[in-house]
Amino acid sequence: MAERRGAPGPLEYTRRFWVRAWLAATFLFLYAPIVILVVFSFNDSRRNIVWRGFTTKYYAKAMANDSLIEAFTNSLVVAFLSTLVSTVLGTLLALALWRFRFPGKPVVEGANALPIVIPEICMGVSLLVFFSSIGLMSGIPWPASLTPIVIGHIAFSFPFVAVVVRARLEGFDRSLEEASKDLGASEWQTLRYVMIPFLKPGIVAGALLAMTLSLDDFVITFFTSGPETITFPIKIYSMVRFGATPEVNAASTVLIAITLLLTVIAMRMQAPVRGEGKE
Amino acid sequence: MSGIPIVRIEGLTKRFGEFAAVDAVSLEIPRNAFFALLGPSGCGKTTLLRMLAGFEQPSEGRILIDGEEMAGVPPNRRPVNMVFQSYAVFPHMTVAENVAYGLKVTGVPRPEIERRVGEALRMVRLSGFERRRPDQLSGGQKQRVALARALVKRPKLLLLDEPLSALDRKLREEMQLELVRLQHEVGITFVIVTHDQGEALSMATHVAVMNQGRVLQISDPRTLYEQPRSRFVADFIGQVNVFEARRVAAGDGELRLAVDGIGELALPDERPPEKVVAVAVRPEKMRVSAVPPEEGRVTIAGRVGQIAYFGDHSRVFVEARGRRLVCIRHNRSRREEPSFREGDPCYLSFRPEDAILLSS
Repeated sequence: MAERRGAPGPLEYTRRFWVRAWLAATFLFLYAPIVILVVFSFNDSRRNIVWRGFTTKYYAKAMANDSLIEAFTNSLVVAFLSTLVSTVLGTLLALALWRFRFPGKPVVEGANALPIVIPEICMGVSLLVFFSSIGLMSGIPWPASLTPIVIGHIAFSFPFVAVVVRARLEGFDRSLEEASKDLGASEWQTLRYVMIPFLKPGIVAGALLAMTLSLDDFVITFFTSGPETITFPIKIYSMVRFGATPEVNAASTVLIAITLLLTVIAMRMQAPVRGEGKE
Repeated sequence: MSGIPIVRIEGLTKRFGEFAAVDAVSLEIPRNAFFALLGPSGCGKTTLLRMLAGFEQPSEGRILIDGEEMAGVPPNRRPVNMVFQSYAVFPHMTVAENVAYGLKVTGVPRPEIERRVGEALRMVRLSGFERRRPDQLSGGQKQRVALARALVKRPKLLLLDEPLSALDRKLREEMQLELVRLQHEVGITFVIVTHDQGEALSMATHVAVMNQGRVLQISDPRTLYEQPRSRFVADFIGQVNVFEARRVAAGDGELRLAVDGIGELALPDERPPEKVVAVAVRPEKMRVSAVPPEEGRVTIAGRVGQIAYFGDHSRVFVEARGRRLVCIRHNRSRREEPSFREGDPCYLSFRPEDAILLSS
């Protein structure tokens, strides 16, 4: 390695000092706040300013906070339900767009992308107006009271699933589908035994994406949740209003950890799986 | 075996918009035939095959398989299986699962599946590969999996879409012999689509030559090569020297033709077509010599234009009367006798009975 002292090659970006410095500054800008948040969740101090020593007592305290746990449960229930529905819907949408030619297909494709680009605040307001006008916003017992939030989350996350699954479908060799039918399989059997196994990495990645989106969504949830149906991000927001205690840090750290875990799994799933290489 | 052909195609046409990919094709495929659909790319052979499989719907005409009308029968209900050009081996299944798939989805009991899968794999010489995944197989092995997967269903008809085009030359020749052996062994009618004339001639019992959506000639390989009826078939199957010709007189077992570049030619009148537009001579029926050949041969004097050496044979291109003719010399000896050089005067000759009469 010591021999390689020449000028950096065209692709050796990281050997140029300024590029490195820029990279470091970017990482610092992006991640320093998060690192500080995590570090201070272990701070043995009521206030979040000076380091007073290591403790995990705020995690214990957060665990003992009933309303926080309730909000966390709500978040998990919402995430689970909305992920389930949006994965099915998104996969079906992707299959329909890939498989069929029909009048108005470009319109459907465009409409599909809308929830991705529409400002969340607008979607939140529109959902609030919609749900209150049909009387779905109050007077319903838990867990049915979560319905508006679940519907809201499905609305913005299934297009993401569709995009991911669609990308995977582009690599699908159509003759596999034909081979399956040729061998006597019905449409349904072809979907079940050939298409779904091939799409599985895409579907799982899409589902995890939907779950992550749902778990940490604030804006749309804020508009669609009632006093009984506080989710985790909203609970944290309300706690911060009374001061950012290390308890908030601890709760946030847990959320980061969960999101991070899901993202890592999603990326693993998207990596090419052994045994499906196409020549 | 009943007398009806396994496949009967009547007036079959497939249009994509204005373009007729298959144009009023009628043909019959006899039972236990190894039937090749041969033609240049875009001639409609694959479309025809896909209509047999049920992946394309005919615009006109009908298909009968073993006497049964196939209109409206979806691919999964036809007594037909296909080996795809890309093999289409399911990547997420093992070899055994791939072969078992067609039996599993149609509800064949498990012990029978196991027995038949073992049998099929033995037939294509893949025993011991049951648990391999497709990415651990070579191209030739995937091909065998695709074959076993189709044959295990015991179809009335096995369709093969350019099955050997992705293999290298050695392997391709091996698989050609293998396919012929398999066809004898299982006694199923094979229909193969290919653009490789050598492949069609060496494997098939019947060859249908297609061009621009039409079938030009259906014959056994030998007839196809030695008695092509049209200029296209003569030219597509092997190389050929074509001379424009016109009928002058016929009778007394003799046919007299006026042939461009040769003059008047008397041919034994075996089976003269109603119309003669050209005469063709295969290059290997031609002989090139330095001295005039013996009596009884049709002779054309010329000069050696170019010699292409292929090892087992050489192609000698001769310039004669402003035309370029080709002749094949088999290199039977390690010494070339007589040796020609470009520009040497020479005589090309052929026996009159080796001339092919073309009617279009």
